[in-house]
Amino acid sequence: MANLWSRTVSFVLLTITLIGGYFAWQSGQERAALLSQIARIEKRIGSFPIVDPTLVHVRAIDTQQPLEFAWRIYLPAHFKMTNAQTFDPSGTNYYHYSGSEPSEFIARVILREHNGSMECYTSFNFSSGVSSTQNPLHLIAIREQWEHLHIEQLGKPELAKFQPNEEMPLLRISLPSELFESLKLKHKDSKSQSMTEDLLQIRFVKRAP
Amino acid sequence: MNIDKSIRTSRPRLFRLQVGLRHILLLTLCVGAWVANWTNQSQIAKLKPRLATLQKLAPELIVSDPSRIAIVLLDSKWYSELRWDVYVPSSNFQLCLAARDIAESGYPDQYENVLLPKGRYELQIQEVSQTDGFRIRVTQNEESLLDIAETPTFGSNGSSSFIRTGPSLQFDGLTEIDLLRRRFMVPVPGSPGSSRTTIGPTKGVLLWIKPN
Repeated sequence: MANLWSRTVSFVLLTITLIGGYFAWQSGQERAALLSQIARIEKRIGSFPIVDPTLVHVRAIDTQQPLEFAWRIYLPAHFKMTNAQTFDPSGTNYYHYSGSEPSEFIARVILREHNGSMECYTSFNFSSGVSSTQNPLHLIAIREQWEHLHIEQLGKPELAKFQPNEEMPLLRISLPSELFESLKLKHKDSKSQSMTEDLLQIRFVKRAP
Repeated sequence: MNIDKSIRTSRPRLFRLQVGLRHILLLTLCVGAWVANWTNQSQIAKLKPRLATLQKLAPELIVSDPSRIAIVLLDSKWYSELRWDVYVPSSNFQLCLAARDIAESGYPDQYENVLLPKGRYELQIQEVSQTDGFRIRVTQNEESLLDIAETPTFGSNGSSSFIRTGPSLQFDGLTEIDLLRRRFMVPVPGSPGSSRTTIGPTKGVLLWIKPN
């Protein structure tokens, strides 16, 4: 009797173990597949640890293209901020954003020459649009002097973290002083004379209450 | 007599001890297997939303069944451009583009088309309004596949659009698959500057994949 009881218990335990082992193997396969998909995407856009969910996180993505910039951005919940974009010296565009939920997105800034103008496409999760300038100095600097320009890109190479109410430059493309002066001497039209060393500035600025 | 007694009592004890060890071993394996499954399941529950977020951030084409068409909309790199990553399972499909007689459903008689041999394509459609006309171009790696030139005022009244978005999807390809169906609005008679949607066929941009 005891022998039968013992064998029954062993059989039941063995069955439960085999079922558990099968499920563990199956879930292990699923977990491995998910991890491999995540690793493949993160290889393209970079891994992104959210250290403090109350902070804005920004990491630059290498686009491998000279006139293209991209970032992976995390905005915390109840984020209220303004994005200021200055491309043409004649003015700055302001884009306001607020959201109750935290959000993560890819932001892009791309420059292209089109019909004699230099155009700047910006895409954030809250807005996208194109600014353009026909300033000859702009065109020449971006088209012919690209490798000599100063480029400051937030989140490159390190992940940038900052308070939502902190002012922070996202991208600044500027002419070195000597190059700026020499280009200004060559192009004495009024548009070029009104230019500053900055060709493009995109920054997070404090939002008015 | 004493010896006999001791033999009778010691045998069952030894038997119980051996069985107990086997049970303990099986129980340990059983708990191990189920704990491993529970750990995997709880990690899967965390990984799935993370993957969904990442797939939205960086869409990628997933071909689970190589006998079916797969399509995913990629990130736009310009305001008037759309890009799709497309997998075509055989050479039985064509890519079609039309700019006139676009209804809410169905397909116009007049259209440009190109054969899509089996393979993977990064298709891009650009709609450019230029001084000399309105241009609709479909390219694959900078190479032009389809091109339609229209009048400069073409598409100046706004539009309503269906764009194939969302995660990577697979289709059997037995019927047409719309990638983009944009229908331009029409001017409101007697109200300059105003436009409205129309029910019937109208100007627009229609890009679709069609079985041969």
